[in-house]
Formats: sequence, C-alpha cells, structure tokens
Amino acid sequence: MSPTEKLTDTIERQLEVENSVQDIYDDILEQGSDKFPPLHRKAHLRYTNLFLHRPLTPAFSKLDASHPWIIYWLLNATLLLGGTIDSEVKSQVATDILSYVVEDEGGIGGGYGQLSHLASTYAGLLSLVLIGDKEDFQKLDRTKIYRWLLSLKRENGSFSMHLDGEADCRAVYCALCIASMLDIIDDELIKGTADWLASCQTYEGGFSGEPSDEAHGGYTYCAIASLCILFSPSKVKELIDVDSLVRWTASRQYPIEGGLSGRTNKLVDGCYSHWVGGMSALLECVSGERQVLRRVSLQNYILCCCQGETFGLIDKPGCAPDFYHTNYVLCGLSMCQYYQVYDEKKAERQGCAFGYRSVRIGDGDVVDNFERNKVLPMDPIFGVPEGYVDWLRATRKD
Amino acid sequence: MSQKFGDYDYSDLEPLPLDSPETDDIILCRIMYSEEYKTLMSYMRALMAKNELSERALYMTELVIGKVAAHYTVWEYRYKIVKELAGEGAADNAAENAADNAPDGLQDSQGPGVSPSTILQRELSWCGRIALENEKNYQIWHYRQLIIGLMIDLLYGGDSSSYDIEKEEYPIISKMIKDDEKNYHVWSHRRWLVETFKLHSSKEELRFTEELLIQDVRNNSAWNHRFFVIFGGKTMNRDLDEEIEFVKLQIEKSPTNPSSWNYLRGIYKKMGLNIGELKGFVDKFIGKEKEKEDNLSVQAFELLGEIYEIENEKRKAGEVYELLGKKLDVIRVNYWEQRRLLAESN
Repeated sequence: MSPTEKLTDTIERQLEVENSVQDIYDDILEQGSDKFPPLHRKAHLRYTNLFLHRPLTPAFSKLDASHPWIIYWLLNATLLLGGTIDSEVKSQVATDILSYVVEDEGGIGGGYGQLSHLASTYAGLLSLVLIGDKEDFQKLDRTKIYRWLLSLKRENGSFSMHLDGEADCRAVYCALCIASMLDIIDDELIKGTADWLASCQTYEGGFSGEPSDEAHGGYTYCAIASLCILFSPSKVKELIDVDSLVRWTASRQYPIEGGLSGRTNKLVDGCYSHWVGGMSALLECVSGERQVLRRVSLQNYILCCCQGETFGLIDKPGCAPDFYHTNYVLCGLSMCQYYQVYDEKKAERQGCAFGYRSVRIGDGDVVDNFERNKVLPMDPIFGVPEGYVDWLRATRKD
Repeated sequence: MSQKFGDYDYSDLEPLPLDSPETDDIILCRIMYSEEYKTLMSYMRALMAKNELSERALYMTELVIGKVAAHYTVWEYRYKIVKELAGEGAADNAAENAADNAPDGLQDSQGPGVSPSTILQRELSWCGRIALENEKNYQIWHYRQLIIGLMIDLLYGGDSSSYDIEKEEYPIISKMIKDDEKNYHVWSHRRWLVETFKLHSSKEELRFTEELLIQDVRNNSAWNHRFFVIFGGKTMNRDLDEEIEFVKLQIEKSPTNPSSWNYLRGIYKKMGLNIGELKGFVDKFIGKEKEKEDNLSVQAFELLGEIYEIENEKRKAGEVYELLGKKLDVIRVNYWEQRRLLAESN
C-alpha cells in the first residue's frame, strides 16, 4: 500500500496476515535452517486415521449433506501422505457410498435419502476409486447416470448441481469428471459446454462461477480442468486468453506469505494451493511456460504456516484444521513437488483427461524436494493421486 | 405418540431413520446427531417420503434448514411445497376473492386459502433471515431466484418489471455486503438481478459500487460488478471518458491497488483502445515514486513495459520486466523473465 492510502478493511486484514506470517518466518530464520519445519507426516496421518476410525461429533451435522466429501477428503489426504487404507475402512467406504446412491436418478446423494448431487457423485466416485473398488464401481448404472446428467444439462451448455439446483463451473467440472470416469461422454452431453466455460473468463484473466461474476480460484480450477477433460492442452490454448490467465494466476501469489489467494485483494488461504496451484500445473501444459508460480515459496508457506499445531492442515496461521483444508493443502504441496506433462500417446488411447503424467522436480532451485516432505504426485484433473483413475478406466476397456 | 412442532401436529407420521439400515454397524462417517436433530430429520424424511406438500411440511423444512443450511434436498423439497401452495392459492384466488396481505410468519397461516402473494412474500423474508445467519451457502440465493421467478409468473403474469427490486432486493443485499463486502454469493445474486431485470443502465448500480469503492477502493468484487454493469450490456450507458477518469482517480488514491489497474486494463481491452495513450498517466507513478523503493507500483511498471512493447522499444520493455523480476516483484521472477524473453524476441 502507499503511505498516503486510506486504511481500509482490505489493507488492515492483509497487514494482519502479513505480520503473523512474517513473525513465523523470522522465528524460523533465527532458529537456523535445521529448524525449518518438515511435513508432520505422522501427525497428519494420525488426524485422518482418527476420523476414519470413529464416529463424528454432533457438530458435524453441518456437513450432513456432504458425507461423500468427508470420505473423499480423508481418504485422499491419507494416501497423499503415503498412508494406506485398511481393509475394514475400505469395506465401510464402499457400503457407505453405495447407501447414498439414489435409485431413480442413479447418482450419489450427500447422504442417505438425499437427492443425487453432482458434487456428491464426484466425491463418491473418487472415494470408490481411492479404495480401488472396481466391483462396486462397475455396479453403478451408467445409463441411468448418463440420463440424469443430461437432465441437469442447461441450454447454455452448463449443468445444474441437482434437480432445481444452482449451475456454475463447479457443477460442470463435477459432471465432466463423472462422465469421464464412467466413460459416458458424448456430443450431446457436452454440446455448448466449452463455449460456456470460456465465457466465464473475466477481464482479470481468471474464471468466475458463472459468466460475469468475479474471477475466483476455485472456479478457475474447475473451468480449466473441465476444458482439459474435453480437449488437449494445445486446443485449450486456442479457446481461452492464456496470457491473461497466466498473469492472473501469477498474481495470486503474495510476496511475503508465498501462499496463494483466490481473488484479487483477498487473503491467502492454504486451500488455494490446490485450486490455484493445481490449476497452474495444467496451465503450465497449456501455456508451455514452466513455473507460473514460485513453487519453493508456496511450499514454504504450506510447511511453515499451514500445519496445525497438533495435526491436520489449515487455511492460515491461527486457524483450526479441518478435512477440507487437510486434503487441499496436501494436494497443493504435491503440485509444488512435481511438474505435469501431457503424453499425447496416452491421451490418444484413453482420452485427453487421462493424458497427464507427473515428473518429480529434482532442481533444488525450483523447490527443496526433500524426501521427508514428499507427498504422492497428483492426477491434475481428478484431484486424486496419480494412477488411481487410469487403473479404473483401463479395466473398464477390457 | 403425539408429536408437535410449533403449531403443527405430526403424530400421524411414522418417522424414518436418518441412516440406511445397510450401514447400521458402520462407524465411518457416522454423525452422532443430537436427539433434537434426529427427531426433526426423521419426521422430515417421513414427509418427503409421502411427498406431502403442505403447510406443516413447509414448517418442518424451516426447522431443518435452520439446523443445516446446506441441506439441498430439503431446499428442493421446500421449493416444491411453495410452488404447490402458491399455485393452488393462485387458482383459488382466480375463483374466489382477493388475498389478505398478512406479513411473514409461518404460524399465522391458516392452511388453504393463504394468498400466493403472502406465501411468496413470506418466503423472501425468511430467505433473507437465513442468509444473514449463513454467509457462505450455495442454496439460499439460488432459491431466492426461484421464488422471484414464481412471483413473476404467478403474481405479475410474467411481467418482471412489476417486481419491486428496490424494496425486496437492495436492502437485504446491503445488509449482507455490510457484513462481508466481498461475499461471492451475494455479488453473484446482484449480477443475476442486473441480468434478469436489465439494469445495465441503472444509476443505482453505479452508485452502489461507487459508494463501496469510496469505503474500500480495494474491494475487487465491487470493481467486477461495476465492469459488468457498464460493459456487460448490449449498449453502454456510461460516458467512456468519464469512466476512465473515474478509475484513474481511484488509481491515484492507491497506486499499488491491483483491482483498479485490472479494471483500467479491462476497459482498454474491451473497448479496443490503445494502451499507448496511458503513457503519460503511467509516468506519474514511475517518476514520482522512483525514490521510494519499497512502495513502487508494480502495476504501473508492468503497463509501462507493455507500452514500450507496442512502441517497439524491445530493449526498454525488457529492462522494465527485468527490473520487475529482479527487484520490484521478486516473487514473480519466473513470470517477468518470461515476459522479458517474449518482449525481446518479438
């Protein structure tokens, strides 16, 4: 800010965060580099395992319409950390998710007795993918789900989340992930969708939830990942203003924090390490530029500022851990440690969405990629560790 | 067993369990619901299973949403109930007499015969209250839009201009924005209003954003909305030069504010203007602030680099980007290096 600028809410909050983060970095520097916090892998695994093995307190009723999300976040975080899922939990995951399947629509609801919801179906399918449950996955009624997806399709090319529900980039992303995993994408299902997504790019360069809303990290991830399900990176490049998206993305990283914000003049939040960070890995493939973000600074923010005091990962210093942040901060950490490359041959065989491959970054100038901080590489499209979705799709083809 | 909630009797219903019998012995993702929530939800599920579209079902949805505002299935059910009740009322009205104008308050209602106007009006007020209690929620504002749609269909014979936005929408939006001036859902709703009711030439939209920008010139949501109002319609009702002057003034107040610079760049791109025109303006921030190293306007230097590029001053452009990457904006060193390479190779 300028010394003459009026002290507004935006500036006050920004300075508060900058100060708290600066204090943390100063402390670490003072203590010497050997005191640099490693990834508290065991603690975070204790956190996810704790909640995978016991019922949730009444306070979790707020998430009563998000059961599949809870399961997906916990499983995904566990696996990214290198943990394993025991067979008892796997069997419970399958039983839970199948109990949320809605008979007449075919999709998965937010809990038992709820309507099919695109986001619940997305999270539910990923949960089955993460436990490697080929059998139950194949029991899902693809024809019914296809019809349900089509019933949610709107004239303008977007999708509604559920019957009479809101339509935005999240809904499109979930619909395309579902259709792609189940291999039920056809021309009718995606007619007009790419154009609608492209129309969500704003004058700032990022994408909004619906056309003309504000550019936002979460929606930008959804829009770019959606386009990358439909097309190769070189084709995506033709559909959007790549330069302005690169500029907007780079601007999400703040100099003192090193972390990422979701919108212009908003605060950093660990979860955007995935929404913006994860998107940047795809954007690198689309734009051909390496390092749209400065990975080492983001990883520093994650390790120094996003680890909860006891366990779990968090939004920013002072926050309490939750499942959502634990998962998405770890997804973001993974992005720091790997590049994505698009393998045309792989894409030709399995579809554009399946064309990505990760490469671990060895260059210490790009990121300190120490073994102790290592997490699994991500599949940049679906939001699970690399390889999980490929396997499922490969078996279907047989 | 007698079961009452509020003024309504639910004793005739057989409550349904919240969890599937299949998952009875599973602890994963099992929420230990409070007794209160469990009871509410079990009756809610009984009503939904019967698809009962009644006043007492409506009341039950209010209780459940009060506990779990993200319960989209219950929101959808509520919409069905309201549609049915208001639709019936509209039919009754046509046959019989005019409606009373009782304000909101579900428990005053007398079942059949409540006018659609009362039903829908009361939905709007209720929606507003729920919104104030739940800042981040995907259902509320979408639901509100569905209700507005019903009002236009059932009350105004499809004539959207009869809907009183000033009375029904502006006050609740202002309250919400006061609590959180960048609330994404609320701004999205306001954008929907502009689109649906064709408010691109409305002075109120400009006034609203201007007022918020005076309070906080870094409110990017306000800038974004303003851009949509002015440049998102079929025709433009604002004098372009005046708007450019407006944003320049805001930049002068806060030269390091990315929101206003993005807005200025947005205008130039949208209108196909030549950013070379901005050289004089940009120079103000380059010259004046050169000494104060720690507070240089990165955005001004960036634009200067771009202006050099169109002037075909490749070397100068490269130097500016180099300065940005090495000194002024080090976090984006890779980005500026790319820009430099591109500028120098073109």
